[in-house]
Amino acid sequence: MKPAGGPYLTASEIGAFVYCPQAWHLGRQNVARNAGGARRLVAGTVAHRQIGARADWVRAIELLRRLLIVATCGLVAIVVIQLFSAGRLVFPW
Amino acid sequence: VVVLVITLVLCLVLLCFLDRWRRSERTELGLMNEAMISADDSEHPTPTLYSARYRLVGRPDQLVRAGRMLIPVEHKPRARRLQDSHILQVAAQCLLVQEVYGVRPTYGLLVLAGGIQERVEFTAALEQRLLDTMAEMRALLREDREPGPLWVARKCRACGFRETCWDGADQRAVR
Repeated sequence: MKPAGGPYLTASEIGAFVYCPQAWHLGRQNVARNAGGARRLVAGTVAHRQIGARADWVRAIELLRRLLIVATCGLVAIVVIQLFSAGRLVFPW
Repeated sequence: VVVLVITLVLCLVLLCFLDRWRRSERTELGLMNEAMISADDSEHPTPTLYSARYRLVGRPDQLVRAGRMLIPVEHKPRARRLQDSHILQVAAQCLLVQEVYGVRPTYGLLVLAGGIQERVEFTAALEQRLLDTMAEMRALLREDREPGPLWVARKCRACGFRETCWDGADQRAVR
């Protein structure tokens, strides 16, 4: 494929262009949005930040879950060994 | 032994609780079985992806792994349905992932309001459409041409540039 020339484009501005070419153009020219538009922009940023925070939560929960699985397996092993050594369970062989 | 068994039961209960919590949080993020690699605005931020060949740049909201592929994920928390603009944005991110990581993702993911996951197949036809769109944008920039407003009621009424486009003017064209 022939290399593209011209300025860099961002993935999000491609979406903006497809949604409305004129709004994309005005955004590129740094034309001020009305109060509602500015509010929506801020709300979008906040929503994305919340998604990032939720992603951190999911990671933390998954780490805790993995640790708990390891701990549970260890506990099962200890309980079984204790039961065998106390003679409450006998090896079948 | 009794103490150990009680601890074991508590661990199992906690594990069940964590599993349910994890599943509900992942559902909110629109994830199913994919492994999360990075997420924007998190402790493991998604890197900004560049392609000098396509002169394209972007940062997906998340990168997840599905088999050998890295899949870009885009969140649209206020959107109730999939739109063409979302599809092209995800296509651009798929192209960037292919360029940067060397493996073409066969699809990208879009997460709409309420964590609804939509899959965007990254086909050759979609890639061509993306390249055509980029060429169209660059032509406008090169010629320093304004696309011009076009009244689309549902978009224009909610647009932050409404006054700039339509202040005192008639709705010149309707589509």
